[in-house]
Amino acid sequence: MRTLTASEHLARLRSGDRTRRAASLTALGAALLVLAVFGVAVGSVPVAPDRIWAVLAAKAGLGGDPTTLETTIVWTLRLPRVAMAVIVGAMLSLAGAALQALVRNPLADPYVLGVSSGASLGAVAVMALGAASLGGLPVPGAAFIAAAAVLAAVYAFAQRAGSFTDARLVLAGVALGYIAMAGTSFLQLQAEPAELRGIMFWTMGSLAGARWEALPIPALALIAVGAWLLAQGRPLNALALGDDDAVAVGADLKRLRLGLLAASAVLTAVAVSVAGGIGFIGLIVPHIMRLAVGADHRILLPASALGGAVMLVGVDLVARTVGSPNEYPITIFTALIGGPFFLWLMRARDKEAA
Amino acid sequence: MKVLLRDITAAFGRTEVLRGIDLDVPDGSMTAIVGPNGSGKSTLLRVIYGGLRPDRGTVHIGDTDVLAASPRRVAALRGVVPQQQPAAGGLRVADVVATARQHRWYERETAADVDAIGSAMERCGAAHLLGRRFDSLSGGERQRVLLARALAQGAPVLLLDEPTNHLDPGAQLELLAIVRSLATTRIIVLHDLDHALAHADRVAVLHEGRVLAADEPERALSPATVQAAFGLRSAIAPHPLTGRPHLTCALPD
Repeated sequence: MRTLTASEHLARLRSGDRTRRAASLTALGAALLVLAVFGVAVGSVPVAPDRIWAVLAAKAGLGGDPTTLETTIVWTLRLPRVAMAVIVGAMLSLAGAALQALVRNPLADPYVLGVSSGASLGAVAVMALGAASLGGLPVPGAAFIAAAAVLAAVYAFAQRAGSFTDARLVLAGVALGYIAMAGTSFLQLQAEPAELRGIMFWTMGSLAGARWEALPIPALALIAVGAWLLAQGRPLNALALGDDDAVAVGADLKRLRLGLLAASAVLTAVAVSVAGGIGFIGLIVPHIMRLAVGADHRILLPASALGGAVMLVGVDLVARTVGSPNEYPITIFTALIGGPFFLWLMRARDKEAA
Repeated sequence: MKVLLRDITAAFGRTEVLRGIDLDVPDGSMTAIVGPNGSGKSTLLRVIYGGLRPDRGTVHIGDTDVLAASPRRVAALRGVVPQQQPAAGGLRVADVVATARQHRWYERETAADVDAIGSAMERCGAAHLLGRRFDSLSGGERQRVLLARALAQGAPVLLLDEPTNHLDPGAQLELLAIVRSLATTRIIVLHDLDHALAHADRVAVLHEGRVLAADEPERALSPATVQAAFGLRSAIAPHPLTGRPHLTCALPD
């Protein structure tokens, strides 16, 4: 038998890659669809899948005979909530994957830039002091403005000679994040006891307030920023080896790094402003996907977006059903479910490699 | 393709690292840059490949002004083996080498890309590594892969920054033999003066940010220049095994 040339070997490798890529994205898409149906069907009042269909058909003008209660539960409450979980989950994991590549640190997550602490400060300020004291700003608006302000400060401190360094970026983000957290804690103690539960929900993440009106801005941000990020697969692969390596193969390093920073900041700030401080997804989903589909960013980025959506839809389902009719903050379950799953996957991969 | 450097001056803060470097690298030659630690070798190479903007001076590859050209245009003119970093990220070798073929980010790999990557891997004796994880390779294997990545760019000039660092003696000689066998214009930063003498067509000796000598190897590495740049005694004598000129150094008496 003739031995393969390197080009033939590579061509085979690539055709295997394409098959695996299609298979893993299809599997993730299918999982998302199934979980989304569960997310709409399950709750304090269960709705059977055929009744969900009846509501959708009625909304699309294709007949269907849903009751008012079914329409309210499916269309007004659960569908926008599931849609928001898909969008926010995808945003947080995309931001995490981009930041882990940008600062080449496996511990990086969307919150390492202090953006989430800033958003929390803005939101808690409105909740504790009352919207009137801040000019009638709604909670998401205040969260976004405060997140943007913290990010601008982080960027200003990380600057040196016209560009930022990874270490300074992380240090400035951590320092400013702690300052914002201190402000949040201080404000929390000024709040009325009745407001504390709302504040805790917000700082630990919740999708309870998701309505159709709140969806367009996050959806647009995800589509615009996500499309740009998904096209950066090869530059991110080059950057993963080092800045010099990215320059070596012709990346516009300054523009690439600035673009990655801006992209992850926008994704995180928008996600936090609509859903509060949902932790752990942006850290763990890119790692889970790295173990599942490999480190090539051309597949890692789309897989992370889908994986983040799957995880948040699932976790939100658990958070609102496990103690039904009471809800729990989401971050409790992102860690409780995601942590053990990640550790298991890490162990399983070790055995596979051995 | 020729490489021309004129009056390259660069500083880190207040420390001048390069002080008016002029250097001509002839088409198709292998030019070694040597010098003591801190003499500016790696800084100079980074200026040539666009990793650092000098405060003054010009870099031309062929007729292209590198400092004014876009990163993508520059990547078509020169391949780079940067100084080795600790590898991380879990990428496969195939994906590492494929980053060389990204003059257009959005396109998927064409048949031409696959051929360029494949022949570069064969040229560097690394074809069998394509499916491996980059961070599982030995130092010598990694340098072959990074050399293949640079060659896969298909550029007429190749720049190498201390590619033999951290390699065992056999891997060093094998890597130098591959570089030696190439037909492109090569600029290679080396620590080992004997390697420069044995493998390069021309040698530039740097000292405190200036070019002390730029000439054929035996002249550039004369005992007087080695003394001036490194403060060492040196002699060139036939190698006991190969019979070719061989440079040895010793501390001053």
